[in-house]
Amino acid sequence: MVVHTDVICPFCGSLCDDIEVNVEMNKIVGIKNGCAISRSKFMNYDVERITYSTVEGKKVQYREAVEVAAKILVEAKRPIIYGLSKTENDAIRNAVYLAELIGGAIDNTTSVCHGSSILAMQHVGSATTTLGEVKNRADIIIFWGANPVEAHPRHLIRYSGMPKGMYNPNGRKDRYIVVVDVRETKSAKIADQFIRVEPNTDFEVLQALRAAVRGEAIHGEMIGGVSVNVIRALAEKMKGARVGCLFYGLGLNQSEGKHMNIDAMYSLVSEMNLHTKFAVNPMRGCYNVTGANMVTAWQTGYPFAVDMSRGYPRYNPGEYTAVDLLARKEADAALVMGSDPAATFPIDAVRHLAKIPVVTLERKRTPTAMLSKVVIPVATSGIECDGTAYRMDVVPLKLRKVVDPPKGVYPDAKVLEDIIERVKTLKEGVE
Amino acid sequence: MTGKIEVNLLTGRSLDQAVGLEIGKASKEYFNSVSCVELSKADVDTLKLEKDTTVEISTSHGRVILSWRVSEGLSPGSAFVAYGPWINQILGSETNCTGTPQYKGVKAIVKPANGEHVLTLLDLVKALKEAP
Amino acid sequence: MSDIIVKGGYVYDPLNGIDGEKADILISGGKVIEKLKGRGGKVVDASGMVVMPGGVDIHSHIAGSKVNTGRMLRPEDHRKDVVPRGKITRSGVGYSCPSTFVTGYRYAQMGYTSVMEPAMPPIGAKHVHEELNDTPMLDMAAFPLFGNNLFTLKYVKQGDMEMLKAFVLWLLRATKGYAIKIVNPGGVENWKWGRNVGGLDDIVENYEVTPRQIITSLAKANEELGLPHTIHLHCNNLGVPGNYKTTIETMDAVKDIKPKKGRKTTIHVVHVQFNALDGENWGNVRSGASQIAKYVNVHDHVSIDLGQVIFTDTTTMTGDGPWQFRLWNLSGNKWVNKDMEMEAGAGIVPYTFRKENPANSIQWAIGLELALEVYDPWRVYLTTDHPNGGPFIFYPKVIAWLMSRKARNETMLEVNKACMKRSTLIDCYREYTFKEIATVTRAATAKALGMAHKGHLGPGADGDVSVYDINPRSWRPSMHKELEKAFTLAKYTIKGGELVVKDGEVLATPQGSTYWVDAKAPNEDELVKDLEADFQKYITINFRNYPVDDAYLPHGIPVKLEVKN
Repeated sequence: MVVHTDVICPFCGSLCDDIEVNVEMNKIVGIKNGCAISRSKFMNYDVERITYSTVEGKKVQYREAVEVAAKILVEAKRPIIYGLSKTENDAIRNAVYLAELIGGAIDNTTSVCHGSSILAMQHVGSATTTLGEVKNRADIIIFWGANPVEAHPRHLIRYSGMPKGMYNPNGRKDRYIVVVDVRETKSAKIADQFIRVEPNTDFEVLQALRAAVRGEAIHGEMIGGVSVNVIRALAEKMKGARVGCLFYGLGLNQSEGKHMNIDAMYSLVSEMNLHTKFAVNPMRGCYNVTGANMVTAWQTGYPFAVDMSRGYPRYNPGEYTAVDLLARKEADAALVMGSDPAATFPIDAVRHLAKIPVVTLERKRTPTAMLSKVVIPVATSGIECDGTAYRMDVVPLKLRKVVDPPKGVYPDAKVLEDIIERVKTLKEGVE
Repeated sequence: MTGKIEVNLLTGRSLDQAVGLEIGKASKEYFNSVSCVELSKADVDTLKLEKDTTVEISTSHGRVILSWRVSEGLSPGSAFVAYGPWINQILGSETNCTGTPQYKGVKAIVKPANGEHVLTLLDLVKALKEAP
Repeated sequence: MSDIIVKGGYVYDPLNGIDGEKADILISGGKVIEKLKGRGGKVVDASGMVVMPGGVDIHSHIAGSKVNTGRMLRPEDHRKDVVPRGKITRSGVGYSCPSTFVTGYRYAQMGYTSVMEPAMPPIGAKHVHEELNDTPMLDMAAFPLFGNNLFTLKYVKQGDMEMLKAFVLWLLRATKGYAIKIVNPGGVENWKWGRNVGGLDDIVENYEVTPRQIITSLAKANEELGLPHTIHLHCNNLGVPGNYKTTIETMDAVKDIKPKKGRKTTIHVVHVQFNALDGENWGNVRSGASQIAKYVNVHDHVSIDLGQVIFTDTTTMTGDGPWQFRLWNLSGNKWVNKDMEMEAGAGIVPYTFRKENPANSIQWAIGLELALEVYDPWRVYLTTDHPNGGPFIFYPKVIAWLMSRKARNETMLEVNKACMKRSTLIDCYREYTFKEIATVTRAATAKALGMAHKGHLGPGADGDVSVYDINPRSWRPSMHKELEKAFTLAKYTIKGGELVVKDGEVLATPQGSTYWVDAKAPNEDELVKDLEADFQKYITINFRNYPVDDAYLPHGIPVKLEVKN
């Protein structure tokens, strides 16, 4: 048996890098240190796998699938490439290149998750920090609209709640944890203070908090179901922090107000820096959605919602984002990788996805794969192939390969390379 | 006579949903985690829901049948369903030019489903393929 | 690759003492050679034109976390400068936060062939190298940040020079970095508590060391190890009127350190313009450039680069967290702060340098004063601290200002009169020669970096050559617009012996090499034990996952160092 240590878990944005994976005869037989989700990913990596390419549900050779895929993309008038979050950086680089070649739109799962965070950042900036700084220095931790116990299970253990740090020698005891949410989650149960807000009122509550921090008057006794006294007390607590960190999740991005909620939060945290050291951090869901933003941004200038149809990158969330392109029935072909939009998008968008030719690069049977014209199996990044992924705080880590992929199954990066080659040849024939 | 209630619907990540999706979207574990709505005890009582029955949850965009269970952390008038293709049946794709649909804080109606079954993943996919 | 003969141009090769003589440059196998062996070879007709070694930019923020965050922050910057894809070129965006492909193309189009990324946060080193790998046509290197690193502070506090030296070599190797970069030493660590340092002898909290100790320890380590470049330092008190005093104090602090054999300098102070302010506040700020130039002129252990201001909308981005916070307060523009894991920090704030703004006009004058009042072109280099002072695409404008008093005066008349009254620029009559320009943009920078194959056209040099369509014999300083035009788009750029740009058009996009220092101290095992223990406690990634492995540098050139006991 081979024991691989310091393995990075390819599930959520925590990107825990202390996983121990036991491999026997090219199969994972056990893991240590992972959370329940990590365990599920590693121990089930070979379950429900797609092991051969298909075109319209029929088994075909890999080369033929690549050919049909390339044809679909070249012949489309408005192709879109979507996903990118559950794969490694070389694959994403190829995806951006492919989008440029076919003059398509390229978007990633940011657009339905933390896209609003980026919009807010582009308006007002943001004061952030890496997780090690939080571990070592922060004594006030706030989770707002985030449920780490279920979505980032080891976040509290490794970074934000329990660990001893240079200036937090007593671990949990040195920290005051607040959870703000519309319901009492499992995370709320471990907090020192739980504040329940009414759904869709985060914007008002955050603005009230900003007013309290500034010492301004707040009109009314309750804001968003929260007593103004509680808001004032929280403001004082925050101002008294040695170092504070506010982690937030999709509770803000996906409810009414969207980027304005985060605008309010980022503004609050920036203003907090006039009083004491404070930072804000988005709880990124997928293990490499940050990488998708990074690669897309350094190659095109923009982190998501990019359009290449004029030969140069253009950016417009709402116009070039996947849900919009599908719901408005503009996209006439799609390549999906590192995501499962048929499971994650609202019904109107999925209905259109079902109507257009879709090429899916996938590991397992998913609703998207079931709806796709072409399905090409791919290796699991971080288990069956290596590559780079970026943690939620933009720290890059090198994913490991601990087992070989199934025979005839390649990494996303290689499949895209092969599609790119065919696309180039087809285009040269046309031009 | 069973009534209906209006709820503020929240969709989001759950541990079971994450564990299930890593087994596979076609797995029983995934199905169980994302085709179930969590309600407060008070709302369950209001609706007079019986054990092992199903509920219909609907918005202007559509309706879907789900199983149900009680969650202590929810206040009356709130419902939680884990992200997935079941609850997405009733969510709208309007993004207000941000790219992000509203997945949380959506007004929905919940009522007993009178014996209708929860559709399987294959049912959902079939419906999509066969839609005009 | 065929041989190349760059024929009949006026060659400026200051390192080899060539000052505008007509000569042919022969290139074979990627290198400059004395005699071509066979016949044939491509002839690049440079008659009537200026020929220089390819440009070597010693300080330009082109890759990594804060650069990319700058890109994400500024879609409005990108929209004004879109770059469509070409037959062999990728699309992208330009201006102050250019995308990586465009960065490579634009530098090459200006005749630059080497660029140094001056601020690499060690935990983000992989990110820097990923971006460098998508930056074509340039040889590059990156400088890891040392000045606020928990291990630097620990060993400086302990006064343990042997461990500090071992750490320097270890970190350079782990990050595949090239030189010691120091930004606001001590200040960025204090900024982790929301505070800063106010001078060289201020205290770094919890460590009880001073910026002076950090700087002198690292400078000493640098010279004792014999690293190819000196320490690369961004001073304390950047952007604070009156800070010229801190800058001179900083330079003075290392004057008694023995430089490594073969050089006289022990410190390179970066973008001095931002640190050359006299006055008490932004209301009465004046230029402190003359004081600094006076010091530099009589102390040959110092080299500086300008950080020249360009009047445009640009993006400031530095590792100086507290300075960027201050700029947010001054300007009200959106502000991003990014503290990095016990080792560094960064901040980004868009900023517009306006002609009618008296402080900006003085800042503009300061950069030029420094260049004109420091006599030794081997110790003052042309930079804009891209993109802080302005985008690198404006270098030709700076060249024009340096070579033509008329160009300076024209601009001076357009800007706020404060620069005439509160700087000495109006009294600067000096005009740079082509040789001096070649010195401050390639020969001197290559020498300062210790890159023996760069910045010159002697036999054995890398085949990096730029040809500019301007006749030095007939050119007069009054023709500054023509000069600027000629340097904006090179007539020819040759990189590694391959013609890559002609008439400003990109002909080939070879990937360049990334230089890094590869050395190990004899006590490294002892160091590693110490590092591993602290990693467990304080860093959130495992020790084994921290270093950059070879796969990130497909074109890496390790520079080996002999480390004596």
